[in-house]
Amino acid sequence: MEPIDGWWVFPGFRIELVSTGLHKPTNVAPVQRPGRNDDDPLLYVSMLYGEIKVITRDCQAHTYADGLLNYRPDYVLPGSGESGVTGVQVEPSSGDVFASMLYKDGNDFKGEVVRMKGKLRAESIETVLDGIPSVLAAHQIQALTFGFDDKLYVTTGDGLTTPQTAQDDRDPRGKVLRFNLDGSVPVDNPSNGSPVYAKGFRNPFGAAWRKSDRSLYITDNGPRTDDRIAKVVPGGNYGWSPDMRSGSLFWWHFTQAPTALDFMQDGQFPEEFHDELFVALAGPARYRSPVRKGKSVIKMRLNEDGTGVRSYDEFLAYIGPGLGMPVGLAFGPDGLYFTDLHGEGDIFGQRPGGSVYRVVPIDGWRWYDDQ
Amino acid sequence: MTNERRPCPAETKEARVRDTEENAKRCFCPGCPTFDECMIEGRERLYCARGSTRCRLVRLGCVCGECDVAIENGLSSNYYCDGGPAKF
Repeated sequence: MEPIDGWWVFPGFRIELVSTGLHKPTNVAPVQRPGRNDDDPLLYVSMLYGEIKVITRDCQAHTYADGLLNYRPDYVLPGSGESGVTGVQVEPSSGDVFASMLYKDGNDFKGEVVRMKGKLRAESIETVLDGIPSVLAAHQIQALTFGFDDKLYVTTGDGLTTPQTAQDDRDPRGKVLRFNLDGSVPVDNPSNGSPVYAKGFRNPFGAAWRKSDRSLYITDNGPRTDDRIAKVVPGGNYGWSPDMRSGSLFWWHFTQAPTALDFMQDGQFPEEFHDELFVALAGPARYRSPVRKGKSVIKMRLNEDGTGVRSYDEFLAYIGPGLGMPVGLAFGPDGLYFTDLHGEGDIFGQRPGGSVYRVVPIDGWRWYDDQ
Repeated sequence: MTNERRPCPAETKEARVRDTEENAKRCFCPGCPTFDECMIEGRERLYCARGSTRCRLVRLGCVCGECDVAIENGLSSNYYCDGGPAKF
């Protein structure tokens, strides 16, 4: 059985393998207007243990940046090996690649954001933000997005052992932070001089902007219960800790580990899917299928103002014999890209594994053909 | 319902992982990187049924998710050697 055969996908779509043999591919950042040549970048992929890969239009993976961690990852997964290089995003106006990651400062772990220039290789790496207190665990600095206002939005975990930080306005943990692209604090942030855009989050892995209401949506991972999706409003308090339901648009009582999310809003899928929200549910680390958590991508239709969910469907599900763990997810110009964190890699990730797939609509497919 | 008699069930399901020799033989714990000399000496295994370790535990990774016992019983957590027996 080929790995690609282990995935079920919603009727009317097919799945394509874009790249495999990657090393814990965590997030994907498609180039929204890629060039036409085979060696033009198609997407950038953050690799948890210290690399950024660029995948070109001919589906070849190249090392864009490596050696990004100044400590040796311990591969303990689940556990401390869940940390490293996480967020990646292409800044629309410059094409520069932004990435978030951990670094070691003495005995402490901290979060940072770097900006890289160069198309196929990072020719320069500039630190935009640093010094964000963190932990060698999953609750670290996470997603990066660029708002419609051209600002940089950064989600941060609560540090795992320090949930109280999420309610501390002076602490950058457990927040959505808003910055100018050079790392300075915008003058129009909710609180003067503070980067805090919203607070009260536990482990907000994913973030995406919805065009129809010009709002930011995030995923947030709860403790034993209550993973959630929230529409983020400036100055909002989302309750953690201990509440994982305040301000939530939707929550899973039985946790599913929601990771990346994105809206279908640029015509990649047929019109009936327009404005639907797609969310990767990673599930528990290292569980083989079948398991009642995660290993899927779901889609939701929200109401117009993003205060309620009108429909919920499984869109993609792992049904193969392996680990199948979708983590990264983003729409590119030609379909929905997602990462399988483990792929065919070995048990603790010291041997590269992990794949990137793309989901595209089948041309001319109609529902009644399936009857 | 507290003061009412429950209707008689025709059948019920054991909600815990069964502590059987068969499950113990299939248990993945002895191959786990967190499983150490102390645990070997204590002849420990099947933490999802028997409860957490008596040894000082250092988390070095977890293989519960790949264990047939965990999968067959519908478990979905990790580190039962630390957290105690599976509750569902």
